[in-house]
Amino acid sequence: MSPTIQVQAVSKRYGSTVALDDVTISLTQGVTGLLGPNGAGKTTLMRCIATVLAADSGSLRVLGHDTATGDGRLQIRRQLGYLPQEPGYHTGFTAFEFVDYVAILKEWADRRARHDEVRRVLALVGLESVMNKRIRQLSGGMRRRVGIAQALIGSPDLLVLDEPTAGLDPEQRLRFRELLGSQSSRAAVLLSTHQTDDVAALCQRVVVLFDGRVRFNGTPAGLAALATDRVWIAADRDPSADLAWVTSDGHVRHIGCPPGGSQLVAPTVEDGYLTLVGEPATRAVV
Amino acid sequence: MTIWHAPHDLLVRFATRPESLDHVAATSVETHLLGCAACRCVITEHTDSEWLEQSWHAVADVVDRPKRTVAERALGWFVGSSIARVVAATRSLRWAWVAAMVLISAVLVVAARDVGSVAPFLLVAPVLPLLGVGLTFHPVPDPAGEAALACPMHGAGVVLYRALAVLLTTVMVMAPAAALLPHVGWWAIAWLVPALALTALAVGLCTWLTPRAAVGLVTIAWLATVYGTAVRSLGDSRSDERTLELFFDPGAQFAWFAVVMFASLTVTVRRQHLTMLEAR
Repeated sequence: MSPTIQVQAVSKRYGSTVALDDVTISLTQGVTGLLGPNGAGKTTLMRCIATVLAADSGSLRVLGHDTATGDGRLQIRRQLGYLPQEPGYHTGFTAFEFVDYVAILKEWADRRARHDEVRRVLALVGLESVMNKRIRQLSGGMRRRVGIAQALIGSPDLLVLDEPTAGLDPEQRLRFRELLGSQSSRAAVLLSTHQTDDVAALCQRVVVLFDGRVRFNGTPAGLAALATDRVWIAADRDPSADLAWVTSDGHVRHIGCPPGGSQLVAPTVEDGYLTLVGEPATRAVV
Repeated sequence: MTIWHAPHDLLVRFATRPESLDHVAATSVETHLLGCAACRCVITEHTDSEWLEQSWHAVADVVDRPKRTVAERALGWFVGSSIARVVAATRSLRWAWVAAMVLISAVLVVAARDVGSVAPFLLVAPVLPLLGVGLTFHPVPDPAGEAALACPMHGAGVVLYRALAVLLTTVMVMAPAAALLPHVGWWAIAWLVPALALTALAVGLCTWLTPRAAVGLVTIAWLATVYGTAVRSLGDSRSDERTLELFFDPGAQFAWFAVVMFASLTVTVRRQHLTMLEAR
């Protein structure tokens, strides 16, 4: 199977800041999670893949088309659903009007068919009852779902979702996981998140970015395995531990060398992630 | 609680051949159905589900259809409803911007009448459409932000339609104001080609720079040039007149027109660069 997204030696700078540094990844069907602390380059990479930002160097092919050419970008955009980190909602629009507006930009010229599609995607994210409310009247979580709805228009072959679960409550996150599960059977999905449990629950593949570089590219189980034999539960905090935090049951979870009287436990995706990116990332994630 | 139920054959006729019922019977059945779930179940079995679904779609389509302004409907006759919708969503076409334009025009006219010269109006007027277009492009050239940039229809065409709509709206607001200037003559329209040139120049620069930088650069360059010229001719009794001639006389108009042509050519050649977050 040819890769859905092929990123080859892509770099991107903003002035003196390196956002992406020689990034090479290749992604196929299924859900891929993009993890990394703030400023790791996740949003920049997603923008490049979504054709809204040009890389400084390297090549990027999405759905078989080159993002560097106008025609390539057009072909990609016809098969793409994109949720940016900060969608520029026109708050005077209702949810229906906003999604309808994006559907127009996605070349849905037939009004009746377009409105049916708008109703369908709004129902998918559970907003059918508020679709005629103005966006400025909706909560942050509802606005996020409006953003997700516009990305789903036309059942695209590739979904690029930048922090889709930010602002969603636990029930909405569960619904989102369900929704994404149903989409991923026919589309490739790339999502960035700070929620490692989303990655564990949803993703077949995970890429960890740190300082603009790829630090890990594999399965969630593979990421968790990086912390094998390094995660311990103890009654008290060991000051010499690499990382330690109190869990909800009152124990202290340690990553690193075993503290006295501790018990070795199976690592999670979060443990693997923290092991990989270390203390600087811990400060950003906590 | 409803204990009486409509006869079965009456319900079947209501569902399948409503024209066979007289008005009173049809209304009675309809009223009864509103309060009787059991009878509604009966007619469901005899209703054409495809027809019902189409009917609901038609109703929902009317209810949910976005409201269109008169201007949007009128525009739709010329460019089609999709483009009209896209143009109508332009930031700078909102009432706040139009109201600001009216206010600024009024202040400029008052200032011009106060000093008895068209200079205050003419020297500021060309940058107003430019600022409107800049507002349209900020932070990205679409009210739906980045999500719109990743859509196939979003391209130079949409960007230019918007710029044109803002330009025309601003001109329509400012033209009546220009007519109120003192000693107006042909000066009433002298700012139009420079305004078009500055706007085209900024759109052209947007293919290299961010919209904010492009509009800021052109605005500052214009205001600095005007200010510098005015300062140089201080003490000259014909100061205003000389400044106006420099920027607006027929020779200058020809030069501005050349700028419009050059900028348009640039936009045409580099149009692909208008549809991304950064122009490079």
